[in-house]
Amino acid sequence: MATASNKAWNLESFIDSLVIELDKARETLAVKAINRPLTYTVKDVGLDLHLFPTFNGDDVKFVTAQPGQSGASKLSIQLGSITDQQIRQTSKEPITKDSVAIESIDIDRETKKTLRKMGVSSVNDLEKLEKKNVDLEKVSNKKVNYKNLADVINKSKRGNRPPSVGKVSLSLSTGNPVLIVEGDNLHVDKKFAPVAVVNDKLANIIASDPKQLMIEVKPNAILSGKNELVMTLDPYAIFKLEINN
Amino acid sequence: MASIENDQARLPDGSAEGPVIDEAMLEMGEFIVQMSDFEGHLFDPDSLTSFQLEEVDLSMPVQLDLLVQDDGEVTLGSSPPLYYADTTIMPVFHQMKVKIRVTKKEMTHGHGLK
Repeated sequence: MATASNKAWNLESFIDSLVIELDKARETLAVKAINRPLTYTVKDVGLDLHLFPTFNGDDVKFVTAQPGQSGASKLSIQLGSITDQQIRQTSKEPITKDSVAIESIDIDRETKKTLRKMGVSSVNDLEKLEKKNVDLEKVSNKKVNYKNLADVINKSKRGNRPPSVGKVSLSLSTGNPVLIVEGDNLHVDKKFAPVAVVNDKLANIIASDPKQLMIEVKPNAILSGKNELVMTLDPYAIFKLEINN
Repeated sequence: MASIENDQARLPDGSAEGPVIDEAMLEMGEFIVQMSDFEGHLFDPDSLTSFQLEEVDLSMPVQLDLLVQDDGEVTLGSSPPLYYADTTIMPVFHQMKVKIRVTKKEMTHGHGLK
């Protein structure tokens, strides 16, 4: 059996380490090859390990056999070299800056685990499944429901693009006064009509885009001194501004 | 030894430098490089015959030093069997296989056979 000083490791970390070491070996050999008439490269590396597998209910981990321990299992790992083209054909595209990793969204551990098992690592993967009409509820044995996830995902996405206000100005050039709010990532959800309340009175938004909001108010709505503007840009972006007139 | 407890080098200020493998072993990458360090030419001056090494398949017992950090990251050290004496309790030998192939043939007549 494993001793207390012998730490358990998971297969992914072990293979990561092995791949890094193999890459280092290839890089060193490539440098050595510059001054040699023949070039050699490591094509495959295999390891037969003697170890004890353990299962804690969630993950399988391994403890390497120590001297004097009998009854160890054998795990064979074979790393073969593949071309960049094969990598492109067999690997998923890496998660981009615009995408949200499943690991970073605020959902329970069981759902994350189920999604990972289904090969879903980012919100983009989930959206692709949704577009193809995959019934996640059936596939995951009722553990995952896209509609339940949608809110959390949208919230996370909004968290990646938070709204910010740079300038608020008041225009009196046409008809009623118009408050012009300028900034970044203001109205980004086209499905949601933004709402503005000035001094507890509903105002009329006449134009909105990610950079600017134009809010028409009644002539007497803006008071001299402090005024309060509350804007709901979408369900995940609500903020309150104090405007001094 | 097959595996030892996580060990970290300490810098003068007491901070950890990262795991350090057993001094009798090499990092796995360095170990593989040392096993793959071929000139690639075999020349017999008597028969004036030369050979070029095309492929090497190595299969050998190895000892591993497997360090697991608190975050689960694994560092691998390895070496061929360190001792050859029979003992009551023998170390654990894992088996390593490495395939090395020539990738570029630049050798021409008179090249590299000085």
